[in-house]
Order: sequence, then structure tokens, then C-alpha cells
Amino acid sequence: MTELKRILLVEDNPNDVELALAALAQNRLANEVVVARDGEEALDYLYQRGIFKMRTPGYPAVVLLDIKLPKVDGLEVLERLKADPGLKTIPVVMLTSSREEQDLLRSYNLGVNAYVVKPVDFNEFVEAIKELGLFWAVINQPPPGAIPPRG
Amino acid sequence: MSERTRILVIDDNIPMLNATERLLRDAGHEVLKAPTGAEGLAIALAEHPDLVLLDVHLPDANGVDICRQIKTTPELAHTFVVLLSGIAISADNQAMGLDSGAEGYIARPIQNRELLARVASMIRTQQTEKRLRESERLWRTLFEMANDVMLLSDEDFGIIACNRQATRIYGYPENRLIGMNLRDLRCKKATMDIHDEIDASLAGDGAVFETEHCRSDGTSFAVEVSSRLFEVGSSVHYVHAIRDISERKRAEQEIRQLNGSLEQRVQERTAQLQAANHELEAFSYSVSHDLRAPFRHIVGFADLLQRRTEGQLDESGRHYLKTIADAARYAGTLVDNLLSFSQMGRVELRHAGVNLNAVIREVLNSMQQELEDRNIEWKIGELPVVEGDASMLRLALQNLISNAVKYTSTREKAVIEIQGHENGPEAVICIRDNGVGFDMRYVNKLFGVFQRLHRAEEFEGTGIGLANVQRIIARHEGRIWAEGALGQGASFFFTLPLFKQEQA
Repeated sequence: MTELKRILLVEDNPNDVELALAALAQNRLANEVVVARDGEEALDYLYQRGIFKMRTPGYPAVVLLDIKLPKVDGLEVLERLKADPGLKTIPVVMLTSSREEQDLLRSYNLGVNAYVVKPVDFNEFVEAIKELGLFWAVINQPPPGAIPPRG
Repeated sequence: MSERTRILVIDDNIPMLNATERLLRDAGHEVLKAPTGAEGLAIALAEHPDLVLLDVHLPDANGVDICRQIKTTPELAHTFVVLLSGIAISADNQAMGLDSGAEGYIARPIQNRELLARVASMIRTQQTEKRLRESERLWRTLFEMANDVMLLSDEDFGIIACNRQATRIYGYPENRLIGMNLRDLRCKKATMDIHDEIDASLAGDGAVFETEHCRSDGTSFAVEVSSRLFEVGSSVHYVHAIRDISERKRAEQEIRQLNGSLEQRVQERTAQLQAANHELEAFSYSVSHDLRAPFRHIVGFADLLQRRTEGQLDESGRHYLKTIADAARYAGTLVDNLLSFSQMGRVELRHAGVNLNAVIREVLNSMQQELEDRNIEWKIGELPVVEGDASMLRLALQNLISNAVKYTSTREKAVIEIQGHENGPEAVICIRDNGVGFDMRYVNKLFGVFQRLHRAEEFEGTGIGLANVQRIIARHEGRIWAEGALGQGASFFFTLPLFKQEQA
């Protein structure tokens, strides 16, 4: 019954990408994950330009966004997204190392939908990814315009 | 008359001399006598009489000359001379006698009573003069000895008297200073007229003002002038007391400079502190982002490896892998605790009344897992309502309570007691347990960051909990201290401000 929708993972650290993908795979949530390696790539994906010019149209069901990113950082990506009437309905979850109050505060002020601090313990991380994936990519009804699940 | 007056009588008529002597002595005076001018002069010089009765016609000298000699002798300046004459004395001669300096002229013959009265009157005049001289000397001394410059001026500030300090300070001799005008002493750059200065600073009938004066060599110095107007008869005078205040001005200037540089130093230090704080924030921010990640990766990949090699590794291999993951996990916890410790110092407190009993109930609820399988007797008293940040205080109590729970884990039956009382404006809270306690010798290490009194295999911990508690209490302007003994439990005391109800 469950339909898995597309997830955009914005993460520059290959270790973190690998762990996140492993965690998603363990929960059988990995089949529709797009990885952007910095803020610019993430925006390119969302605006369907650059290397993502030819991608399937539509928006991801959720963006998992790291804060510290090369070129354009996560908070800037969030700001641009939430300022764009066409993109602001896309749910964004900060998935980050930072538990700094200022980061939390700025994220929420910019309209983030959720904020998750990556746990050091891998089992906890797997658990967190599982719940995130289940909620945003399966349970939650995305706004209109999201990429429909593959048939 | 209170004092005996010494009178010298000079007369060549011996019977007359003796008669006068007797007369005066009977009247209570001390009498000296001389029959010639020369002898009289010698006695006068030796005995300093108050009064000399001098016969004008002496065989060896003219009385007028003797009088002149007496009057020009400084030691005898205050000696009164009365000339005695024969019968037919011309007005001319009388005038000549008085011109020589004599105080009086008596023409003979004269009645005894009149002579005595004339002498008495003369003595009264002389004593009045003497008292005046003494008084003058007294005031002159006061004037001269004053530490301030004292100037006496006329209405238009022409100087008519000055004291020694004036000549010393201005560098002019007295005879130059007298005759100068107070305006001449003022610095050339002074723009205000002295009249205006006095008017501007008038208070009562005197004026005190600061200005600059010049010395004879042209150098200037700061002065404080107190001027006072007074009238003698119909003429108006000023007395000016002038004080050299250049030293005071220098000291004031120095204080101003010191204050200025102090202000600057404070600003510099503040800037340095702000920069250091900023750096620290940047540092902990970057620790928060960058240092946690590698530990997370180690734990993650060790776990993935362990899953991948399930059944392929021997016991040592599994042990190594587990140790890698445990160590990285522990390092991650250390980083997290250190970050929360540094956040504790930076986060703003939100003050409100805090019910500590409610906080403790919440803490115990959240610890249910830890408390399972434990036999703990809780003795929790009614605690005062304190003022503070509820979530911070919750963190502090959680730390202290979980410490008590942890260090009583070796006891079959643990007893944990939480009591509080009011002490003046503050609440004193005590958390006591019957756990393993600690050695009072190391009590000062208890609250240090990463300081531990137990080995890791005895009790788990990162050594940050009590440092956090101390920081929270300190940020509430409270104090914390501990008492304990090895094997005999520990007591932690802390104070917090009592909550003051704003309105009834």
C-alpha cells in the first residue's frame, strides 16, 4: 500500500551520504533518493537547470538539507526556497550536525518544517532516518506538484 | 597706671632737678636724672626711658639738639620728649622745639599739679601709641606670614601693600610691586577685565575666581584669587588673597588624563573580550559542526562493517570492532557535553518563579528507565519557590539526582533525600545520598570540567555534569558546595534566589 516518493538529500560529506543511503536502504526507502553535493546543486535540481536540466519534472516530497555546505549553505538554500512562491510548499527538513541554538532559531525563522540533529550512534541515526523517510516520503501528503511515485 | 613709667629728667638747675624728681617719684614714677646733656643722652641710651623731661637751656648743649639726637636714635624712636623752658620763651623757639621731634613743650614756672597732669596725659598718649604699634605688628605678622600672596589695593586695583610671599612668587621687590596695578600681574592672554572677573564670581561681598598671572620673568601660572572689598573711612580698598594653584591644576589634569586612559583601557579590554568571546563562539560552532561528524562516521561504518561481517569475525575481531564503535560513541558524547556546557554559559536565562518540587517530579518521571530494578527510598521535602530559568534548573537537578542514583547503585537500599529551607533572600537546597561518597581532599576537583573522582569502569561519566550544575547555579547568582566521605554518601548544597511575588 505504501508509495515511496522522491527524496532530495543535500549533503557534501560522502561519508554522510553513504551512511544516509545505507540507513535508507536498511529501511527500504532508498529507491528514490537524489543527492545534491552542495547548495548550488540543490538549487539547480529544484530549478531544473545545470546538470539537472533534463531531469523528470516535479518536486521532491521532502528535502533533507545539511546546514554546512560548500558554495551556497543550507540556510541560504532554505531561504531561497521559502522565498519562492513556486517552491515554498516543498517540505524541508534540516538534517545536520549542529545543535546550536542560533542554527535552530534561524532555520525555524526561515520556515523549516523540521530540524533533526544527526545522532552519533548509528542505530539511532538509522532509526531517525527511518522515521523521517516514513513520515515525509510515505505518510505525509505532499503539496500538489510533487513527483508522483513510479508506477 | 598699671606700669611704672620710667622718666628721665635732664636739668642743670640741681634744686629744680631734685624737686621734679621727688614730685614724680611721689606720683609713682621711676625717675632717672642727669644735670648735663651729655650725661642725659648716655643715660637715655643705657636705660631707654619712656619719657624725657628736657631743659632747653643746658650748659653743655642746646636741649633742642639733644632732642634731635634722641629722636634719630632708632632704639629711642618711641621715647617721648617734653621740652622744659625758662620763662620768656618765644613762640618761634617753641615751634623749633616741636619741629625737632619733641612731643610737648612746657613753659616754666608750672604748678606741680599741672606738670603731673601733663606727664600723665603724655604717658596715656604714649601707651595708646604703643598698643597701636603692637597691634600693627601683630596684623603685619599675620599678613606677612600668610602662605598666600596678600595684596592690598585701592579701588582701581593699584597695589598699596604686599606681603613677602608676593615678592617671592611674582619675583618683584616690594618697592616695585607697590605701585603696580593688579592688572599688570595678569597674563596678557586674559581677555576678561578684572572687574568683570570679580563681578562674575561675586558671592556675598567677596569674589573667588581662577585666572592666570605672570611672574617678573614673563612665565605664567594658574592662580585662585579671593578678592574682598572693604571701606576705611571714605576710601574703598580691596584685599586680594592669591594662591598659586598650578600644582593643583597639574594634578587635576593628571587625573583627567588617567581617567581618559582608563576609559580607553576599559574599551580596549572590552573589545578584546568581545573578540575572544566571538572566537570562542566560532570555535564551538565549528566543533559542533565538524568534530561530531567523524565520530558519527566511525560509529556508523563500524556498525555497517559489523553487520557485513556477521559470523565471519572471531571473538577478538568482534571485540575490536565494538571497542572502535564504543570509543567513537564516547568521544561523540564528550563533544556533545562540552558543547552543551559552552552553550550553558551563553544561552540567555528566562527568569520566572520555579516550583522545584514540580521540577523534581518531572525529572523522576523522565528517569523511570534508570530507576527500574532499583530500591530507592526518596525523602523529598517541601521546597521553596525560587526565581530562575526552569529548563536550566531542571537540567541542574537532573544532573544532581542522576548522580545520586548512579553513586548509590552499589547499595542494596539507596536513600536519597532532597530538602530545602529559606535563608534570608535565598533558598538553600540539599541533595543527600547514602552512596559511595567521595574523599573531601578532592572536593575542589568535583566541579571541574572533565574532572572525575571515579574510574570509568566503576561509574560511567564524562566529568561534565557537575561543571554544568555549577555553571547553572552561578548564572543564577547562587553558590554550590559539597560534603562527603568515602563510603559514607555525599551531600550537595546549593543556593538560589527566592521568588519574590511582584504583587499581592
